[in-house]
Amino acid sequence: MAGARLALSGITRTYTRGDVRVPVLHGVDLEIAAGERVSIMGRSGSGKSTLLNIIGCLDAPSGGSYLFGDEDVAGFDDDRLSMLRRTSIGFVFQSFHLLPSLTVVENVGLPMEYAHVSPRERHTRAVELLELVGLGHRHDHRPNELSGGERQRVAIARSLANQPRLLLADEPTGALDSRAQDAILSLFETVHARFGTTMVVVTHDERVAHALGDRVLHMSDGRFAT
Amino acid sequence: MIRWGTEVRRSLGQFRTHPLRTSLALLGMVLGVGSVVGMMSIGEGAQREIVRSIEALGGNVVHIRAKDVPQERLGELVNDSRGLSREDVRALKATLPELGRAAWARFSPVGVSDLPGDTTSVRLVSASPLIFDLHRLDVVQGRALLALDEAAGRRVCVVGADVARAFDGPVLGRRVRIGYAYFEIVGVLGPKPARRDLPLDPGTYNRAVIVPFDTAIETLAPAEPYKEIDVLSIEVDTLERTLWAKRAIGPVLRTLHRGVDDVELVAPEEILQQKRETQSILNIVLISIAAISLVVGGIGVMNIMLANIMERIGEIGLRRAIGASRADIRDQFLVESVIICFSGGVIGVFFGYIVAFLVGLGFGLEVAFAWEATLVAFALSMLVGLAFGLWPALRASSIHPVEALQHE
Repeated sequence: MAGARLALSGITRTYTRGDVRVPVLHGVDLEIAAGERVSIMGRSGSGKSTLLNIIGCLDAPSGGSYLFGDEDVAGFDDDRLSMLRRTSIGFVFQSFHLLPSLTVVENVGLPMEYAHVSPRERHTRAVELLELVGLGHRHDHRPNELSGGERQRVAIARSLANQPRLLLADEPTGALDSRAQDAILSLFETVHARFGTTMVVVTHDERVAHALGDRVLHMSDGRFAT
Repeated sequence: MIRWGTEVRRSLGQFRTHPLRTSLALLGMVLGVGSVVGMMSIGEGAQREIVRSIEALGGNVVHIRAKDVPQERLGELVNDSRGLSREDVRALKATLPELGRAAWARFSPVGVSDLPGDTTSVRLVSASPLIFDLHRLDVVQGRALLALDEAAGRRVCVVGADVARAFDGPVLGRRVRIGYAYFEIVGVLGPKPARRDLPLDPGTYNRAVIVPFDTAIETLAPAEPYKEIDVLSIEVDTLERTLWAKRAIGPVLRTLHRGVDDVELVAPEEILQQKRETQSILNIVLISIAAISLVVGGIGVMNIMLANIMERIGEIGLRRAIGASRADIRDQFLVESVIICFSGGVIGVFFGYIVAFLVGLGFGLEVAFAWEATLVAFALSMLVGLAFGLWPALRASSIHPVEALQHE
């Protein structure tokens, strides 16, 4: 599993609120090499989350081109974007987004359901990933029985379920205390060392940005600051 | 593509987290499907009851009744017509060889005495012995009248269930006075259900004293110049053939009676069709009303689905982020609503049958448990699940993943 090379050029994103058009991204250019780790910093409202959503194919840009590997995904429809997220992209969120009704193993296996992996294999792979993130002993717990740091480990395991080429994290340590933060940061190190996944992290925390980024970019007003 | 196993397991897990809400939606479907099934059972029962009541008087028999003619017109009529008579039977059989056995009866005003209880409504029926076959008269004690009784002019009679019940002790062998002669009771009829809505009410036989036709003419009242018999019943092959028989016999009788319209033909098939038609209109009305409650149940399910979706927007966002397509999200919620509706349908079928059974018991209606109704109910509940689940499911699938993820 190798990382994906990303090339964004002239990316714009404009929201329409009623009759008012609100431009959020003004022509962003960004190249990320395969396996590179990039941190994006910026105040809230700077457009960093919007950019992350576009990189993560959750949102389509209003203009510009986006090469994911060799594919121009800027013009992809919803189904092809879903397919790309399913096969190639892993997400880690600030608030974990684990499903409370499912066990830890089921949460980790969830992305594989959409990739039509058989239940048996799903389970095997989920258990392996849980071992990797250091939660091999907590398979059948529910998320609400875990600490914040443990929940984020589960979420990281889930993001790796379909062996993505790109791992995205939006304030991955924002909801954690400093000890748990350190553990999560070193887990990301381990994951990167193991899989060589391309990583993009959005954060406003200087320490996190430097720990998780080979390169740290600053955004304000929908552009990268030079 | 729907992966049913996964979806169904997921939905059941979802129901466990909201037992009350799910039960209420289920209840709506149970009531809806239950009332449809109940109404169908009651309607089907009514249809079968009609068939049975028709068959109680002999389904494959066409009946010819003499019309009541006003006394003052009798004088002019007798020049042309002798009224319904045994002569007609011979002529009809000669003209229409397809006709089967025939039986006839005459209802006389002759008084019957020596009977216990109220005798005013007891009718004297002089009948050819075949009437027992053709009118499906069941003899529960003793025997029916025989051809031999008639040939030998025996003074014997068979009494109806109500008449027999009024006696103390054994009924067979007793002698009753009819006119100026004594008749021995040789048989007792089983009770017949009264159907006043039929042209020939089988209940008439409950208060009847039946004597052999020829004996009656000999000993009680000589044949009158007009209208020798009141009812002539002729057998055909099947119930359906009675329609044909009615059409064929009508013109022949009219010719025999020289154009005088003094008989009335009753084809069971025709009554059956009319009654069925009335009943099926009634059934459609009943089932339509029941269907409204099914729609209400469906709206309940839709309501619950919308509430579920509002509550699980974050989950929808997460599922979209890890690669679920719009169709995946749509199917997930569609499966949930179909499962609620189908489970409600299964319980509703039992509920409907129980209600129908109780209604049947309480009101003395016949109730039929048609397997078609069960199939229809299952199909209908799935359909309701799809129809009323579709809009919420489409709404869920059209939420933008970014907005869904931000929703807390």
